[in-house]
Amino acid sequence: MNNKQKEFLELYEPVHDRFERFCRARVYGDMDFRDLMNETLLRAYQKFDELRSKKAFLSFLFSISVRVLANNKRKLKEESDSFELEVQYLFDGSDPADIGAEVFFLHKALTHLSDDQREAVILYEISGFSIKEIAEIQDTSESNVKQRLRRGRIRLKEILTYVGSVKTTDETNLKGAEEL
Amino acid sequence: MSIGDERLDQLFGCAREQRPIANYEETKQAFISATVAAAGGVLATNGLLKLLTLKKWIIMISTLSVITTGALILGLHLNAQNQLQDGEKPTTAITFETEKPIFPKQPTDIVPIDKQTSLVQVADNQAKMEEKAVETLIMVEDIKKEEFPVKPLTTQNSFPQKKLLVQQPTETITPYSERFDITEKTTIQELEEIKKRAAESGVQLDYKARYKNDKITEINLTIKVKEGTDTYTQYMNANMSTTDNFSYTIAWKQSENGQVKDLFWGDTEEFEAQEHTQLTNDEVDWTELKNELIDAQTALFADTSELHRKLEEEFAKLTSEMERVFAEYEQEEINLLMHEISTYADDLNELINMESDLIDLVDLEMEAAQLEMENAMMAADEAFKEARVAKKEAKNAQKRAEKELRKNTK
Repeated sequence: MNNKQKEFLELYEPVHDRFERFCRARVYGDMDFRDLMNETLLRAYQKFDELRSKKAFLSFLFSISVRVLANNKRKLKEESDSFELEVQYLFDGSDPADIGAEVFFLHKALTHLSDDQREAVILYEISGFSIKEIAEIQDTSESNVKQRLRRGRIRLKEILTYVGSVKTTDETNLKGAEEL
Repeated sequence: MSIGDERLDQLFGCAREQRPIANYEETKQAFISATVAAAGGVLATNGLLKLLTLKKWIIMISTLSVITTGALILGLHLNAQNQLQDGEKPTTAITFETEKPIFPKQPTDIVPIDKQTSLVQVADNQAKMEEKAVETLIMVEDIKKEEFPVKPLTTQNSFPQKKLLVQQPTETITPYSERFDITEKTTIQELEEIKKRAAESGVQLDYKARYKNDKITEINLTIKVKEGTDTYTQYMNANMSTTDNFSYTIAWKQSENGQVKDLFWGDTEEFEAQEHTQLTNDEVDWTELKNELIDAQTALFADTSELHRKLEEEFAKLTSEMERVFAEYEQEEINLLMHEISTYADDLNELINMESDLIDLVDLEMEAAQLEMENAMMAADEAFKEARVAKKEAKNAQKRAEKELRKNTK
Protein backbone atom coordinates (compact mmCIF):
# COMPACT_ATOMS: atom_id res chain seq x y z
CA MET A 1 0.00 0.00 0.00
CA ASN A 2 1.50 3.32 -0.96
CA ASN A 3 1.56 6.54 1.00
CA LYS A 4 -1.34 8.04 -0.83
CA GLN A 5 -3.54 5.08 -0.04
CA LYS A 6 -2.49 5.16 3.58
CA GLU A 7 -3.27 8.82 3.86
CA PHE A 8 -6.61 8.37 2.21
CA LEU A 9 -7.61 5.53 4.46
CA GLU A 10 -6.54 7.43 7.53
CA LEU A 11 -9.03 10.11 6.63
CA TYR A 12 -11.71 7.64 5.69
CA GLU A 13 -11.68 5.38 8.71
CA PRO A 14 -13.34 7.80 11.16
CA VAL A 15 -16.16 8.59 8.74
CA HIS A 16 -16.75 5.05 7.57
CA ASP A 17 -19.85 4.42 9.69
CA ARG A 18 -21.60 7.61 8.63
CA PHE A 19 -20.73 7.03 5.04
CA GLU A 20 -21.94 3.46 5.18
CA ARG A 21 -25.26 4.45 6.71
CA PHE A 22 -25.75 7.12 4.09
CA CYS A 23 -25.06 4.72 1.22
CA ARG A 24 -27.29 2.10 2.70
CA ALA A 25 -30.16 4.48 3.19
CA ARG A 26 -29.64 6.28 -0.10
CA VAL A 27 -29.69 3.32 -2.47
CA TYR A 28 -31.87 0.98 -0.49
CA GLY A 29 -33.94 -1.12 -2.89
CA ASP A 30 -32.15 0.29 -5.94
CA MET A 31 -28.73 -1.27 -5.88
CA ASP A 32 -26.17 -2.82 -3.58
CA PHE A 33 -24.91 -0.06 -1.29
CA ARG A 34 -21.42 -1.65 -1.34
CA ASP A 35 -21.16 -0.88 -5.03
CA LEU A 36 -21.88 2.75 -4.34
CA MET A 37 -19.34 2.80 -1.54
CA ASN A 38 -16.60 1.18 -3.60
CA GLU A 39 -17.18 3.38 -6.60
CA THR A 40 -17.29 6.51 -4.48
CA LEU A 41 -14.09 5.61 -2.66
CA LEU A 42 -12.29 4.87 -5.90
CA ARG A 43 -13.34 8.15 -7.45
CA ALA A 44 -12.45 10.01 -4.31
CA TYR A 45 -9.05 8.40 -4.27
CA GLN A 46 -8.44 9.32 -7.88
CA LYS A 47 -9.33 12.91 -7.08
CA PHE A 48 -7.63 12.91 -3.72
CA ASP A 49 -5.10 15.46 -4.89
CA GLU A 50 -7.92 17.95 -5.43
CA LEU A 51 -8.91 17.86 -1.77
CA ARG A 52 -8.17 21.23 -0.32
CA SER A 53 -8.50 20.46 3.34
CA LYS A 54 -8.52 17.23 5.29
CA LYS A 55 -11.38 18.56 7.34
CA ALA A 56 -13.51 18.73 4.26
CA PHE A 57 -12.92 15.08 3.51
CA LEU A 58 -16.37 13.99 4.64
CA SER A 59 -18.26 16.44 2.49
CA PHE A 60 -15.78 15.75 -0.32
CA LEU A 61 -16.64 12.07 -0.08
CA PHE A 62 -20.37 12.63 0.10
CA SER A 63 -20.30 15.06 -2.82
CA ILE A 64 -18.60 12.49 -4.97
CA SER A 65 -21.12 9.92 -3.86
CA VAL A 66 -24.00 12.17 -4.87
CA ARG A 67 -22.42 12.77 -8.26
CA VAL A 68 -21.81 9.08 -8.78
CA LEU A 69 -25.45 8.44 -8.06
CA ALA A 70 -26.53 11.16 -10.41
CA ASN A 71 -24.36 9.68 -13.16
CA ASN A 72 -25.55 6.18 -12.52
CA LYS A 73 -29.17 7.05 -12.15
CA ARG A 74 -30.15 4.80 -15.02
CA LYS A 75 -28.74 1.80 -13.24
CA LEU A 76 -31.10 2.24 -10.33
CA LYS A 77 -34.04 -0.10 -10.37
CA GLU A 78 -37.53 1.18 -9.68
CA GLU A 79 -39.22 0.03 -6.57
CA SER A 80 -42.22 -2.15 -7.06
CA ASP A 81 -45.70 -1.35 -5.77
CA SER A 82 -45.44 -4.06 -3.22
CA PHE A 83 -44.20 -1.53 -0.67
CA GLU A 84 -47.50 -1.03 1.08
CA LEU A 85 -48.22 -4.69 1.24
CA GLU A 86 -44.83 -5.39 2.78
CA VAL A 87 -45.10 -2.58 5.20
CA GLN A 88 -48.33 -3.92 6.65
CA TYR A 89 -46.59 -7.03 7.75
CA LEU A 90 -43.36 -5.43 8.89
CA PHE A 91 -44.26 -2.31 10.76
CA ASP A 92 -44.85 -2.64 14.41
CA GLY A 93 -45.04 0.77 16.00
CA SER A 94 -45.67 -0.62 19.44
CA ASP A 95 -42.16 -2.07 19.70
CA PRO A 96 -39.52 0.69 19.65
CA ALA A 97 -36.85 -1.78 20.70
CA ASP A 98 -36.89 -3.43 17.28
CA ILE A 99 -34.41 -1.06 15.73
CA GLY A 100 -33.53 -3.19 12.77
CA ALA A 101 -37.11 -3.54 11.67
CA GLU A 102 -37.87 0.14 12.14
CA VAL A 103 -34.83 1.22 10.19
CA PHE A 104 -35.77 -1.20 7.49
CA PHE A 105 -39.21 0.34 7.41
CA LEU A 106 -37.79 3.82 7.35
CA HIS A 107 -35.51 2.94 4.46
CA LYS A 108 -38.42 1.52 2.63
CA ALA A 109 -40.42 4.66 3.20
CA LEU A 110 -37.55 6.82 2.01
CA THR A 111 -37.56 5.11 -1.37
CA HIS A 112 -40.88 6.81 -2.03
CA LEU A 113 -39.36 10.24 -1.90
CA SER A 114 -37.74 11.94 -4.84
CA ASP A 115 -33.98 11.55 -5.12
CA ASP A 116 -33.28 15.08 -3.99
CA GLN A 117 -35.62 14.85 -1.04
CA ARG A 118 -34.34 11.48 -0.06
CA GLU A 119 -30.76 12.64 -0.22
CA ALA A 120 -31.43 15.77 1.73
CA VAL A 121 -33.35 13.93 4.43
CA ILE A 122 -30.70 11.25 4.78
CA LEU A 123 -27.86 13.76 4.86
CA TYR A 124 -29.63 15.86 7.45
CA GLU A 125 -31.40 13.34 9.62
CA ILE A 126 -29.13 10.32 9.43
CA SER A 127 -25.69 11.61 8.45
CA GLY A 128 -25.97 14.77 10.52
CA PHE A 129 -24.88 17.36 7.99
CA SER A 130 -25.94 20.97 8.32
CA ILE A 131 -28.15 22.63 5.77
CA LYS A 132 -25.22 24.61 4.48
CA GLU A 133 -23.14 21.50 4.04
CA ILE A 134 -26.01 19.76 2.33
CA ALA A 135 -26.38 22.72 -0.01
CA GLU A 136 -22.70 22.34 -0.96
CA ILE A 137 -22.95 18.65 -1.39
CA GLN A 138 -26.05 18.87 -3.52
CA ASP A 139 -24.77 21.97 -5.25
CA THR A 140 -27.92 23.90 -4.59
CA SER A 141 -29.14 26.71 -2.40
CA GLU A 142 -29.93 26.43 1.29
CA SER A 143 -33.58 27.36 0.69
CA ASN A 144 -33.91 24.46 -1.71
CA VAL A 145 -32.43 22.15 0.86
CA LYS A 146 -34.88 23.37 3.47
CA GLN A 147 -37.77 22.89 1.10
CA ARG A 148 -36.60 19.35 0.31
CA LEU A 149 -36.32 18.55 3.97
CA ARG A 150 -39.75 19.91 4.77
CA ARG A 151 -41.47 18.17 1.93
CA GLY A 152 -39.57 15.03 2.57
CA ARG A 153 -40.69 14.83 6.16
CA ILE A 154 -44.29 15.55 5.27
CA ARG A 155 -44.23 12.79 2.70
CA LEU A 156 -42.67 10.37 5.11
CA LYS A 157 -45.32 11.12 7.67
CA GLU A 158 -48.02 10.54 5.11
CA ILE A 159 -46.53 7.21 4.13
CA LEU A 160 -46.08 6.09 7.67
CA THR A 161 -49.54 7.37 8.67
CA TYR A 162 -51.23 5.54 5.79
CA VAL A 163 -49.62 2.34 6.76
CA GLY A 164 -50.52 2.86 10.33
CA SER A 165 -54.14 3.55 9.46
CA VAL A 166 -54.39 0.41 7.34
CA LYS A 167 -53.18 -1.68 10.24
CA THR A 168 -55.50 0.07 12.68
CA THR A 169 -58.48 -0.53 10.43
CA ASP A 170 -57.70 -4.22 10.29
CA GLU A 171 -57.52 -4.43 14.06
CA THR A 172 -60.83 -2.60 14.39
CA ASN A 173 -62.53 -4.90 11.94
CA LEU A 174 -61.29 -7.90 13.76
CA LYS A 175 -62.58 -6.56 17.05
CA GLY A 176 -65.98 -5.84 15.55
CA ALA A 177 -66.14 -9.35 14.18
CA GLU A 178 -65.42 -10.84 17.58
CA GLU A 179 -68.14 -8.82 19.21
CA LEU A 180 -70.58 -9.93 16.63
CA MET B 1 -52.59 6.16 13.90
CA SER B 2 -51.02 9.41 12.88
CA ILE B 3 -47.26 9.53 12.76
CA GLY B 4 -45.99 12.70 14.35
CA ASP B 5 -42.71 14.47 14.17
CA GLU B 6 -41.67 12.86 17.42
CA ARG B 7 -42.11 9.40 16.07
CA LEU B 8 -40.34 10.31 12.90
CA ASP B 9 -37.44 11.68 14.86
CA GLN B 10 -37.33 8.45 16.80
CA LEU B 11 -37.04 6.52 13.59
CA PHE B 12 -34.27 8.74 12.37
CA GLY B 13 -32.52 8.31 15.70
CA CYS B 14 -32.66 4.55 15.26
CA ALA B 15 -31.23 4.91 11.81
CA ARG B 16 -28.36 7.01 13.14
CA GLU B 17 -27.57 4.57 15.90
CA GLN B 18 -27.72 1.46 13.77
CA ARG B 19 -24.49 -0.45 13.42
CA PRO B 20 -23.04 -0.61 9.92
CA ILE B 21 -23.46 -3.77 7.95
CA ALA B 22 -20.27 -3.37 5.89
CA ASN B 23 -17.38 -2.98 8.30
CA TYR B 24 -14.30 -0.88 7.76
CA GLU B 25 -11.88 -3.73 7.07
CA GLU B 26 -14.07 -5.19 4.43
CA THR B 27 -14.42 -1.82 2.75
CA LYS B 28 -10.68 -1.21 3.00
CA GLN B 29 -9.84 -4.46 1.24
CA ALA B 30 -12.31 -3.73 -1.50
CA PHE B 31 -10.88 -0.27 -1.92
CA ILE B 32 -7.28 -1.50 -2.20
CA SER B 33 -8.25 -4.10 -4.77
CA ALA B 34 -10.14 -1.50 -6.73
CA THR B 35 -7.23 0.91 -6.76
CA VAL B 36 -4.84 -1.78 -7.94
CA ALA B 37 -7.20 -2.84 -10.68
CA ALA B 38 -7.78 0.74 -11.75
CA ALA B 39 -4.04 1.35 -11.96
CA GLY B 40 -3.76 -1.53 -14.42
CA GLY B 41 -1.91 -4.28 -12.64
CA VAL B 42 0.16 -5.37 -9.68
CA LEU B 43 2.63 -2.61 -10.03
CA ALA B 44 -0.04 0.04 -10.11
CA THR B 45 2.26 2.74 -11.18
CA ASN B 46 1.94 4.75 -14.32
CA GLY B 47 5.65 4.84 -14.93
CA LEU B 48 6.17 1.12 -14.93
CA LEU B 49 3.03 0.61 -16.93
CA LYS B 50 4.35 2.94 -19.56
CA LEU B 51 7.62 1.13 -19.50
CA LEU B 52 5.92 -2.22 -19.96
CA THR B 53 3.89 -0.82 -22.81
CA LEU B 54 7.02 0.57 -24.35
CA LYS B 55 8.75 -2.80 -24.05
CA LYS B 56 5.82 -4.39 -25.76
CA TRP B 57 6.13 -1.99 -28.66
CA ILE B 58 9.84 -2.56 -28.91
CA ILE B 59 9.38 -6.32 -29.03
CA MET B 60 6.64 -6.00 -31.63
CA ILE B 61 8.64 -3.75 -33.88
CA SER B 62 11.75 -5.91 -33.56
CA THR B 63 9.84 -9.02 -34.49
CA LEU B 64 8.29 -7.35 -37.49
CA SER B 65 11.68 -6.10 -38.64
CA VAL B 66 13.21 -9.53 -38.38
CA ILE B 67 10.39 -11.09 -40.33
CA THR B 68 10.51 -8.42 -43.03
CA THR B 69 14.27 -8.66 -43.36
CA GLY B 70 14.16 -12.40 -43.57
CA ALA B 71 11.51 -12.26 -46.25
CA LEU B 72 13.51 -9.75 -48.24
CA ILE B 73 16.69 -11.77 -48.01
CA LEU B 74 14.88 -14.90 -49.03
CA GLY B 75 13.29 -13.16 -51.94
CA LEU B 76 16.56 -11.73 -53.15
CA HIS B 77 18.29 -15.04 -52.80
CA LEU B 78 15.68 -16.80 -54.85
CA ASN B 79 15.85 -14.09 -57.44
CA ALA B 80 19.61 -14.41 -57.71
CA GLN B 81 19.36 -18.12 -58.19
CA ASN B 82 16.93 -17.76 -61.01
CA GLN B 83 18.88 -15.19 -62.91
CA LEU B 84 21.28 -16.19 -65.66
CA GLN B 85 24.40 -14.21 -65.64
CA ASP B 86 25.98 -13.06 -68.90
CA GLY B 87 28.22 -15.63 -70.51
CA GLU B 88 27.47 -18.18 -67.93
CA LYS B 89 25.69 -21.29 -68.95
CA PRO B 90 23.20 -22.49 -66.48
CA THR B 91 23.40 -26.04 -65.33
CA THR B 92 19.77 -26.90 -65.06
CA ALA B 93 16.98 -26.93 -67.50
CA ILE B 94 14.23 -24.48 -66.80
CA THR B 95 10.95 -24.69 -68.55
CA PHE B 96 8.39 -21.94 -68.72
CA GLU B 97 4.92 -22.60 -69.89
CA THR B 98 2.95 -19.88 -71.49
CA GLU B 99 -0.68 -19.76 -72.40
CA LYS B 100 0.27 -20.72 -75.85
CA PRO B 101 0.29 -24.31 -76.90
CA ILE B 102 3.21 -26.34 -75.91
CA PHE B 103 5.92 -26.54 -78.44
CA PRO B 104 7.54 -29.87 -78.05
CA LYS B 105 11.21 -30.07 -77.54
CA GLN B 106 13.18 -29.96 -80.66
CA PRO B 107 16.22 -32.09 -81.08
CA THR B 108 19.20 -29.97 -80.47
CA ASP B 109 22.26 -29.63 -82.54
CA ILE B 110 20.33 -30.39 -85.61
CA VAL B 111 22.08 -28.97 -88.56
CA PRO B 112 20.38 -29.25 -91.85
CA ILE B 113 22.31 -30.66 -94.66
CA ASP B 114 20.51 -28.45 -97.06
CA LYS B 115 22.36 -25.20 -97.07
CA GLN B 116 19.26 -23.33 -98.01
CA THR B 117 17.70 -24.15 -94.76
CA SER B 118 18.27 -21.35 -92.40
CA LEU B 119 19.93 -21.88 -89.10
CA VAL B 120 18.30 -19.95 -86.42
CA GLN B 121 20.48 -19.22 -83.53
CA VAL B 122 18.24 -18.94 -80.59
CA ALA B 123 18.98 -16.90 -77.57
CA ASP B 124 18.12 -18.02 -74.08
CA ASN B 125 14.65 -16.75 -74.35
CA GLN B 126 14.33 -17.93 -77.93
CA ALA B 127 13.45 -14.51 -79.16
CA LYS B 128 13.70 -15.60 -82.74
CA MET B 129 11.39 -18.51 -82.32
CA GLU B 130 7.96 -18.32 -83.71
CA GLU B 131 5.23 -17.11 -81.45
CA LYS B 132 3.82 -20.50 -80.81
CA ALA B 133 6.97 -21.80 -79.26
CA VAL B 134 7.31 -22.43 -75.63
CA GLU B 135 9.93 -20.36 -73.97
CA THR B 136 12.26 -23.15 -73.17
CA LEU B 137 15.81 -23.01 -72.14
CA ILE B 138 17.30 -26.23 -73.24
CA MET B 139 20.75 -26.63 -71.89
CA VAL B 140 21.33 -29.96 -73.43
CA GLU B 141 24.95 -29.26 -73.93
CA ASP B 142 25.51 -28.87 -70.25
CA ILE B 143 23.55 -31.89 -69.32
CA LYS B 144 25.49 -34.00 -71.67
CA LYS B 145 28.69 -32.20 -71.18
CA GLU B 146 30.25 -34.53 -68.72
CA GLU B 147 29.26 -37.65 -70.50
CA PHE B 148 29.55 -36.49 -73.98
CA PRO B 149 32.27 -33.93 -74.19
CA VAL B 150 32.44 -32.16 -77.49
CA LYS B 151 35.78 -31.15 -78.86
CA PRO B 152 35.90 -27.95 -80.81
CA LEU B 153 35.49 -28.55 -84.50
CA THR B 154 38.28 -27.78 -86.82
CA THR B 155 36.74 -28.29 -90.22
CA GLN B 156 35.65 -25.47 -92.36
CA ASN B 157 32.04 -26.32 -91.82
CA SER B 158 32.10 -26.35 -88.07
CA PHE B 159 28.87 -25.28 -86.57
CA PRO B 160 28.67 -22.50 -84.04
CA GLN B 161 29.64 -23.03 -80.43
CA LYS B 162 26.23 -22.27 -79.19
CA LYS B 163 24.28 -25.38 -79.36
CA LEU B 164 20.81 -24.05 -79.29
CA LEU B 165 19.96 -24.44 -82.86
CA VAL B 166 16.51 -24.82 -84.11
CA GLN B 167 15.87 -25.78 -87.60
CA GLN B 168 13.15 -24.26 -89.57
CA PRO B 169 12.22 -27.27 -91.52
CA THR B 170 10.90 -26.85 -94.93
CA GLU B 171 9.94 -30.39 -95.65
CA THR B 172 7.31 -32.54 -94.10
CA ILE B 173 8.21 -34.76 -91.20
CA THR B 174 9.44 -38.15 -92.03
CA PRO B 175 10.50 -40.91 -89.73
CA TYR B 176 14.13 -41.59 -89.07
CA SER B 177 15.47 -43.78 -91.75
CA GLU B 178 18.37 -45.02 -89.74
CA ARG B 179 18.91 -45.39 -86.07
CA PHE B 180 21.71 -47.03 -84.21
CA ASP B 181 21.95 -47.44 -80.47
CA ILE B 182 25.35 -47.95 -78.93
CA THR B 183 25.52 -49.33 -75.41
CA GLU B 184 28.36 -50.62 -73.29
CA LYS B 185 27.54 -54.09 -74.53
CA THR B 186 27.91 -53.20 -78.19
CA THR B 187 30.56 -55.40 -79.74
CA ILE B 188 33.22 -54.51 -82.25
CA GLN B 189 31.37 -56.39 -84.90
CA GLU B 190 28.24 -54.38 -84.24
CA LEU B 191 30.17 -51.17 -84.39
CA GLU B 192 31.64 -52.24 -87.70
CA GLU B 193 28.18 -53.05 -88.97
CA ILE B 194 26.94 -49.65 -87.90
CA LYS B 195 29.87 -48.01 -89.60
CA LYS B 196 29.22 -49.90 -92.75
CA ARG B 197 25.55 -49.05 -92.88
CA ALA B 198 26.23 -45.44 -92.05
CA ALA B 199 28.71 -45.28 -94.91
CA GLU B 200 26.05 -46.57 -97.23
CA SER B 201 23.88 -43.61 -96.28
CA GLY B 202 26.68 -41.14 -96.63
CA VAL B 203 27.59 -40.86 -92.99
CA GLN B 204 31.16 -41.48 -92.07
CA LEU B 205 31.29 -42.89 -88.57
CA ASP B 206 34.70 -43.32 -87.00
CA TYR B 207 35.12 -44.79 -83.58
CA LYS B 208 37.66 -45.77 -81.03
CA ALA B 209 36.40 -48.03 -78.28
CA ARG B 210 38.07 -49.39 -75.17
CA TYR B 211 36.78 -52.64 -73.82
CA LYS B 212 37.02 -54.29 -70.47
CA ASN B 213 35.38 -57.58 -69.74
CA ASP B 214 33.71 -57.38 -73.14
CA LYS B 215 32.11 -54.09 -72.24
CA ILE B 216 32.85 -50.68 -73.61
CA THR B 217 34.38 -48.48 -70.95
CA GLU B 218 35.27 -45.60 -73.18
CA ILE B 219 34.37 -44.67 -76.72
CA ASN B 220 35.29 -41.90 -79.07
CA LEU B 221 32.96 -41.16 -81.98
CA THR B 222 33.34 -38.91 -84.95
CA ILE B 223 30.51 -38.32 -87.37
CA LYS B 224 30.99 -36.77 -90.73
CA VAL B 225 28.30 -36.33 -93.31
CA LYS B 226 28.92 -36.39 -96.99
CA GLU B 227 28.07 -33.25 -98.86
CA GLY B 228 28.27 -33.19 -102.49
CA THR B 229 30.47 -35.82 -103.99
CA ASP B 230 33.67 -35.84 -102.00
CA THR B 231 33.26 -33.36 -99.23
CA TYR B 232 32.54 -34.44 -95.71
CA THR B 233 31.37 -32.21 -92.98
CA GLN B 234 32.23 -33.16 -89.46
CA TYR B 235 29.36 -32.74 -87.12
CA MET B 236 30.45 -34.43 -84.01
CA ASN B 237 33.49 -35.69 -82.20
CA ALA B 238 32.84 -36.98 -78.76
CA ASN B 239 34.71 -38.93 -76.14
CA MET B 240 32.51 -40.71 -73.70
CA SER B 241 32.92 -42.87 -70.66
CA THR B 242 30.25 -45.46 -70.32
CA THR B 243 28.10 -46.33 -67.36
CA ASP B 244 25.60 -49.08 -66.70
CA ASN B 245 22.86 -47.06 -68.34
CA PHE B 246 24.94 -45.86 -71.21
CA SER B 247 22.94 -45.76 -74.40
CA TYR B 248 23.93 -43.54 -77.25
CA THR B 249 21.81 -43.09 -80.35
CA ILE B 250 22.85 -42.00 -83.76
CA ALA B 251 20.00 -41.45 -86.19
CA TRP B 252 19.24 -39.56 -89.31
CA LYS B 253 16.69 -39.05 -91.93
CA GLN B 254 17.18 -39.07 -95.62
CA SER B 255 15.65 -36.75 -98.10
CA GLU B 256 14.17 -37.83 -101.35
CA ASN B 257 17.43 -37.31 -103.10
CA GLY B 258 19.25 -39.43 -100.53
CA GLN B 259 20.80 -36.60 -98.60
CA VAL B 260 21.21 -37.08 -94.89
CA LYS B 261 19.31 -34.67 -92.82
CA ASP B 262 18.06 -34.27 -89.23
CA LEU B 263 21.12 -35.99 -87.91
CA PHE B 264 20.75 -36.87 -84.27
CA TRP B 265 23.39 -38.05 -81.87
CA GLY B 266 22.94 -38.22 -78.17
CA ASP B 267 21.27 -39.95 -75.30
CA THR B 268 18.81 -42.61 -76.38
CA GLU B 269 16.16 -41.48 -73.94
CA GLU B 270 16.30 -38.04 -75.28
CA PHE B 271 16.04 -39.28 -78.81
CA GLU B 272 13.00 -41.33 -78.01
CA ALA B 273 11.40 -38.47 -76.17
CA GLN B 274 11.86 -36.03 -78.97
CA GLU B 275 10.86 -38.53 -81.57
CA HIS B 276 7.67 -39.20 -79.77
CA THR B 277 6.65 -35.62 -79.60
CA GLN B 278 8.35 -34.31 -82.71
CA LEU B 279 6.14 -31.86 -84.46
CA THR B 280 6.93 -28.67 -86.23
CA ASN B 281 5.41 -25.38 -85.43
CA ASP B 282 3.90 -25.23 -88.82
CA GLU B 283 2.31 -28.56 -88.59
CA VAL B 284 0.85 -28.57 -85.12
CA ASP B 285 -2.86 -28.38 -85.46
CA TRP B 286 -3.73 -26.45 -82.38
CA THR B 287 -7.38 -26.62 -83.06
CA GLU B 288 -7.20 -30.34 -83.33
CA LEU B 289 -5.12 -30.50 -80.19
CA LYS B 290 -7.61 -28.38 -78.42
CA ASN B 291 -10.42 -30.57 -79.65
CA GLU B 292 -8.52 -33.61 -78.54
CA LEU B 293 -8.11 -32.11 -75.14
CA ILE B 294 -11.76 -31.26 -75.01
CA ASP B 295 -12.63 -34.76 -76.09
CA ALA B 296 -10.30 -36.13 -73.48
CA GLN B 297 -11.88 -33.91 -70.91
CA THR B 298 -15.34 -34.97 -72.03
CA ALA B 299 -14.32 -38.58 -71.92
CA LEU B 300 -12.81 -38.10 -68.51
CA PHE B 301 -15.92 -36.35 -67.33
CA ALA B 302 -18.03 -39.13 -68.78
CA ASP B 303 -15.85 -41.67 -67.08
CA THR B 304 -16.09 -39.75 -63.88
CA SER B 305 -19.83 -39.49 -64.20
CA GLU B 306 -20.05 -43.13 -65.00
CA LEU B 307 -17.87 -43.95 -62.07
CA HIS B 308 -19.94 -41.72 -59.89
CA ARG B 309 -23.11 -43.38 -61.08
CA LYS B 310 -21.65 -46.77 -60.43
CA LEU B 311 -20.57 -45.73 -57.01
CA GLU B 312 -24.04 -44.44 -56.27
CA GLU B 313 -25.57 -47.66 -57.46
CA GLU B 314 -23.16 -49.62 -55.39
CA PHE B 315 -23.89 -47.47 -52.43
CA ALA B 316 -27.62 -47.88 -52.92
CA LYS B 317 -27.16 -51.59 -53.15
CA LEU B 318 -25.10 -51.67 -50.03
CA THR B 319 -27.63 -49.52 -48.24
CA SER B 320 -30.49 -51.74 -49.19
CA GLU B 321 -28.46 -54.78 -48.28
CA MET B 322 -27.68 -53.25 -44.97
CA GLU B 323 -31.31 -52.44 -44.39
CA ARG B 324 -32.26 -55.92 -45.31
CA VAL B 325 -29.71 -57.35 -42.97
CA PHE B 326 -30.88 -55.10 -40.20
CA ALA B 327 -34.46 -55.99 -40.94
CA GLU B 328 -33.57 -59.63 -40.87
CA TYR B 329 -31.64 -59.18 -37.74
CA GLU B 330 -34.54 -57.40 -36.16
CA GLN B 331 -36.93 -60.02 -37.43
CA GLU B 332 -34.73 -62.67 -36.04
CA GLU B 333 -34.61 -60.89 -32.76
CA ILE B 334 -38.35 -60.60 -32.80
CA ASN B 335 -38.70 -64.22 -33.67
CA LEU B 336 -36.41 -65.20 -30.86
CA LEU B 337 -38.35 -63.09 -28.49
CA MET B 338 -41.60 -64.52 -29.71
CA HIS B 339 -40.20 -67.98 -29.31
CA GLU B 340 -39.15 -67.18 -25.82
CA ILE B 341 -42.51 -65.72 -25.07
CA SER B 342 -44.25 -68.73 -26.46
CA THR B 343 -41.99 -70.96 -24.43
CA TYR B 344 -42.82 -69.02 -21.34
CA ALA B 345 -46.47 -69.16 -22.25
CA ASP B 346 -46.28 -72.89 -22.65
CA ASP B 347 -44.59 -73.20 -19.32
CA LEU B 348 -47.21 -71.03 -17.81
CA ASN B 349 -49.97 -73.07 -19.33
CA GLU B 350 -48.36 -76.15 -18.07
CA LEU B 351 -48.19 -74.73 -14.64
CA ILE B 352 -51.78 -73.71 -14.86
CA ASN B 353 -52.69 -77.16 -15.99
CA MET B 354 -50.66 -78.65 -13.27
CA GLU B 355 -52.36 -76.47 -10.80
CA SER B 356 -55.76 -77.37 -12.08
CA ASP B 357 -54.77 -81.00 -12.05
CA LEU B 358 -53.63 -80.57 -8.57
CA ILE B 359 -56.87 -78.93 -7.67
CA ASP B 360 -58.77 -81.72 -9.32
CA LEU B 361 -56.69 -84.20 -7.51
CA VAL B 362 -57.33 -82.54 -4.28
CA ASP B 363 -61.01 -82.44 -5.06
CA LEU B 364 -61.01 -86.10 -5.86
CA GLU B 365 -59.17 -86.96 -2.76
CA MET B 366 -61.48 -84.85 -0.79
CA GLU B 367 -64.43 -86.55 -2.35
CA ALA B 368 -62.95 -89.89 -1.67
CA ALA B 369 -62.21 -88.89 1.83
CA GLN B 370 -65.67 -87.58 2.22
CA LEU B 371 -67.09 -90.75 0.83
CA GLU B 372 -65.04 -92.78 3.16
CA MET B 373 -66.16 -90.68 6.00
CA GLU B 374 -69.72 -91.09 5.01
CA ASN B 375 -69.24 -94.80 4.70
CA ALA B 376 -67.57 -94.84 8.01
CA MET B 377 -70.38 -92.89 9.50
CA MET B 378 -72.88 -95.20 7.96
CA ALA B 379 -70.98 -98.12 9.24
CA ALA B 380 -70.84 -96.52 12.58
CA ASP B 381 -74.55 -95.94 12.46
CA GLU B 382 -75.08 -99.50 11.53
CA ALA B 383 -72.84 -100.66 14.25
CA PHE B 384 -74.61 -98.43 16.67
CA LYS B 385 -77.91 -99.75 15.56
CA GLU B 386 -76.73 -103.29 15.91
CA ALA B 387 -75.36 -102.47 19.24
CA ARG B 388 -78.70 -101.07 20.30
CA VAL B 389 -80.43 -104.09 18.96
CA ALA B 390 -78.00 -106.30 20.73
CA LYS B 391 -78.42 -104.35 23.87
CA LYS B 392 -82.15 -104.64 23.58
CA GLU B 393 -81.96 -108.30 23.00
CA ALA B 394 -79.62 -108.62 25.89
CA LYS B 395 -82.08 -106.78 28.01
CA ASN B 396 -84.88 -108.96 26.82
CA ALA B 397 -82.80 -112.01 27.50
CA GLN B 398 -82.03 -110.75 30.89
CA LYS B 399 -85.67 -110.10 31.56
CA ARG B 400 -86.52 -113.57 30.42
CA ALA B 401 -83.79 -114.97 32.52
CA GLU B 402 -85.04 -113.09 35.54
CA LYS B 403 -88.56 -114.26 34.82
CA GLU B 404 -87.42 -117.82 34.58
CA LEU B 405 -85.53 -117.43 37.74
CA ARG B 406 -88.51 -116.04 39.56
CA LYS B 407 -90.58 -118.82 38.23
CA ASN B 408 -88.11 -121.37 39.34
CA THR B 409 -87.89 -119.81 42.74
CA LYS B 410 -91.61 -119.98 43.24
